[in-house]
Amino acid sequence: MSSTIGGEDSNHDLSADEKDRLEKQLRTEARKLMLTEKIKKRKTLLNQANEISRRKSKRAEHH
Amino acid sequence: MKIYLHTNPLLKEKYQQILTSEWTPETMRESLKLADDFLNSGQLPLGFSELIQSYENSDLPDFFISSPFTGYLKNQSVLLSSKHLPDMPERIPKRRSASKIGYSRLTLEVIYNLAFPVFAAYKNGKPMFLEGDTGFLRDIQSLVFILASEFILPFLREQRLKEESDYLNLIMFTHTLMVWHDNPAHQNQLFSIVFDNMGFHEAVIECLYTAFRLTAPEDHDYLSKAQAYWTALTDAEMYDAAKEFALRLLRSSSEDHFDEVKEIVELSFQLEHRR
Repeated sequence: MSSTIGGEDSNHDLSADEKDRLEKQLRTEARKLMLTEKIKKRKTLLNQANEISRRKSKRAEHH
Repeated sequence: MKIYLHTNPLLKEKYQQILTSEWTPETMRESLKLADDFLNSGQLPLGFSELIQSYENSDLPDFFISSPFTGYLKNQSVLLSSKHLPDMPERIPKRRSASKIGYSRLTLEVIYNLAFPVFAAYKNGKPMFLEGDTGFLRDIQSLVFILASEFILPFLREQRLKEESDYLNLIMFTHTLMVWHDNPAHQNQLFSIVFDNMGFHEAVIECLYTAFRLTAPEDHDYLSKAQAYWTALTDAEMYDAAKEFALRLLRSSSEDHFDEVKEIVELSFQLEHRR
């Protein structure tokens, strides 16, 4: 957590609406590619969608 | 030695911009620059750019191989009783062409950031304990991880930079194991990427399913994780399983997702008939 010195940790994540919009766009694009051989591109789009939409780390302990 | 990490609005803005832009090899470099700026923003600059001021390009691989941490990495295969994990390279050969030299160095930069603060502590000769905005560091590491998998590992494989590729695969595996144990859904998501890179296709499907199962239907990433699993089943030509999963998804997902899930169901039948 933050800091110790500066009070509350402000969130670096996107807003819920923005997440929904972007992840839907990426998923749709990935589905369009299902009928093609562009497997790598599909994976990239879905990895990006997951990274955008997953809950971000806040006060976790680091190794 | 305690290290306080502090983020700021500019770094957060950059993080969001990288997260949402179209991903290209340039995005990979931007994510490393973000990691560097973040780690250099504290009282003691600890970014990769600081490290390389102390080492000639030719000495850098030796620094990364000589760290006691590599002993830990070497033992990963033994600890997990897996002969399929790559071996820790004994040395990284001197590369000749400019592109290979560039990618070899990029690999070391990714390794530095994913293992942070291991190599910073080795260089400074003191153990380091992180405090402050460690969550922001983890999220940058997650970005670097995925982008390295997308844009660095394929080049290393193509160009047969085996030592760099093995080292990076081992670090990605260890990073996933150590850093994300408190977030099993994301840990499994990252393991799916690691195992995909290593060619363990059954394990990829298992990890994607576990990541999906660990995500609640009301979470933002529910449908993205569902689609990733369904796609993996389809790519493995497991059409019956993909169809069944899609139909179950129709029942478990929220009304907001209906149109998308309906399309997944339709695609499942369409893809099966194309085989």
